[in-house]
Amino acid sequence: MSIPERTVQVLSPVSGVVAHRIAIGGGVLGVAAAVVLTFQGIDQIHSFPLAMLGLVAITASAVYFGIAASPFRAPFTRLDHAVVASLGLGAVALNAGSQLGTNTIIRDDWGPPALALVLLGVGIFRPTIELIVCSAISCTVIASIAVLESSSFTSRLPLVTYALVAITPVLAMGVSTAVLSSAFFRAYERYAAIGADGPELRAAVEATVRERRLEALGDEVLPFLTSVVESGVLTERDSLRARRLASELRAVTVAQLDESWIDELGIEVHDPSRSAERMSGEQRSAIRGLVQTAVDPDVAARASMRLTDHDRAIVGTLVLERRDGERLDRGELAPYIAMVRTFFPTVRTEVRGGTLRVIFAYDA
Amino acid sequence: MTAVPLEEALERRAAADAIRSAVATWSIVMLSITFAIAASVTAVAGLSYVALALASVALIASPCVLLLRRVRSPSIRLIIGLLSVIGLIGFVSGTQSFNGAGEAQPDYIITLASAAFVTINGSVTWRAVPLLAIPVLYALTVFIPLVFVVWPNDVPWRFDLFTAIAAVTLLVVVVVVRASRQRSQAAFDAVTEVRLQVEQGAHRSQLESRASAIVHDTVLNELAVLATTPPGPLRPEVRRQLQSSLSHLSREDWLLGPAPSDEATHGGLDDLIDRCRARGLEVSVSGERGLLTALSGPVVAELLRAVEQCLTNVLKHSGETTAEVVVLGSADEVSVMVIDDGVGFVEPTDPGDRIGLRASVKTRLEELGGSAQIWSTPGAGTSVVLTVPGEPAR
Repeated sequence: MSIPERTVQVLSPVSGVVAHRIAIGGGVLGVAAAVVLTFQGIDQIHSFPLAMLGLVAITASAVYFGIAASPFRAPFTRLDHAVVASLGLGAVALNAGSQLGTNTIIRDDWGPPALALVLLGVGIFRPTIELIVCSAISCTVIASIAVLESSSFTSRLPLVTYALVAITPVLAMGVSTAVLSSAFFRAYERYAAIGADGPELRAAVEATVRERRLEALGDEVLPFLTSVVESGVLTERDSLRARRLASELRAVTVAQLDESWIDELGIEVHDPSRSAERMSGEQRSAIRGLVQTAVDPDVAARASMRLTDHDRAIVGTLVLERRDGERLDRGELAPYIAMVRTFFPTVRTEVRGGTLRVIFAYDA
Repeated sequence: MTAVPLEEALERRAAADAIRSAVATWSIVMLSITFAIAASVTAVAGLSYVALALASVALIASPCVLLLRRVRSPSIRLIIGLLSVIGLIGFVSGTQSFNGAGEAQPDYIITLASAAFVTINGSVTWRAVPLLAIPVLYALTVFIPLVFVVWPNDVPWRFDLFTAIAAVTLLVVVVVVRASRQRSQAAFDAVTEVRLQVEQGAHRSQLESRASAIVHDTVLNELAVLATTPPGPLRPEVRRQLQSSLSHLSREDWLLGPAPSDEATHGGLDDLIDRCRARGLEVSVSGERGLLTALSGPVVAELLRAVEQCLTNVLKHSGETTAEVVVLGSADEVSVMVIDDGVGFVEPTDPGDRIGLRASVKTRLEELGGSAQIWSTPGAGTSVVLTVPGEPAR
């Protein structure tokens, strides 16, 4: 199974949900800034088709980011990042091209600030190093474009000044999102290292298991064995009783061995090969979260899961359905949908009205 | 569930700290670029480095302290906020002597400073005066240049779109974060709770397996022996074994403490073979026995206990009185094969039929990170391969 990337979205799916909203807000602002500045600096444009293409490109970048960053399409990949950044840089180039030779003032160009706004939420979705590399590439491209355009500027300043003015938004946004990603990630790693399951809880679980087992033995088995040891003699009746107790205890032990985490969810499960036991902790968290969130205990609901063992993979189908006719709350499901999509190598999810269907596969 | 609030707090604090660091970085980058641009146009614009430096420190450094050092005193926060406003005034005043060098002129430097001012102060104050803080700060960035540059010098006022974008962006982020806060806190709680349940479930499952193995190796074995022992006085070794099992289960640490095998039952492979011989099974050993000595004591004890269960199965089910044990392996893993030429078996339909193999062999080895593989054909004997990971040399 491929190992999920080390991003904040993977560690904390809830952050990904909030960042998705910020990505949409940033995209709307970026496109709005581009439109306003296009009309404000219309006297500097010599090619309207290029200017319009630039607006289309920045809109496409924002729309793509808004879609790809959705928890229902998680995780946001390197390829997604490359598409968003390339479309954005293309928009910067088209904006510059539409004014090449007629651009008199660089600081009213919309390309760099619009790109920075579109990328506002990207820090949560990608690793720090990638954000830095992307910023470096973007700044290099933007600075080069600024230098190319400089011959038409009305002022006569060192070229580095134009480059600095041009890269300011993208550099500031790029470095700060990289810091955001790094700081988030380090904090969450500390959180993960502490672990949610502290020593007190472990001790409580141990005590529960111990007491449960002793309870099962304490009524009859242990007193019987003690009495045999104390008397030092075995009667025929004792032998028969030992056989019966052994049979009962064997049945109880088998039942306990057969217990699975999936049974605790209280849903209908078809898992003849006990394949649920082969899910990792994160995969279990995702499935458990989905089921617990979708199946409101106060609402009559039907839930079922079927796991089929194939040669090298286990294929599962999870269906959650509300019977009260209400729609499933997509917002509440979002973090777990993101987890399912991140931690299972193959996933397809469908949410329609009150029914959620998740088809997933994982290594056998 | 006592740990949950702490973990939730950690996760939320992580988010808040990361946002603070990012905003501070954004402002510091803006400040650095401001300096770089100021340096590049100094010759033309005649700007004062000293004035700019002082203004920058007041404008940016002081709110950064607020952001990163978590200053809680309202009066100190107010003083630092005023310092920041004075810093912006200094920036604006320090560049007013500029008389038109065209592009990248001081008004752009003012723009950068203004955007940094709005962003960093907005991030510091929005919790205290939600939604009002950012418009007020933005108004200051418009008002201060009007008072200190536009009106005294009678120059045209120019709308600063860049600062407006910074202010609106921050406002959008604040609105989204505020709107999502209640719901995302509930989601944080729910995800944390689910992860906790899974961790506890995994721990419980591991302990249940261990408990099953112990119950099987002690009580179930003793009951099986009593069920097949003829009536009459107990043999001393049966009585001793019963006492050992009862004594183990009466201990507070019977689940996680040393297994009964560690106390008396197992002294090593030779003892195990001797015990089998006493019960009527002749066992021959071949291969590299020395590999067992490279494993730690607890691992050897668990492995031998699994081997003993396999030999017990040979005695009980195979119809044979001989078996072979082969030890082989490498630096990465050690395997023990238990082979008999008995009646063999097919995979049981009733799992209770092979509880010893499951509870006492498979789960035991899985806990050690190893595995148990079984090959058996009716009439053609059985081979069980027990494998545990090798341990790194110390």
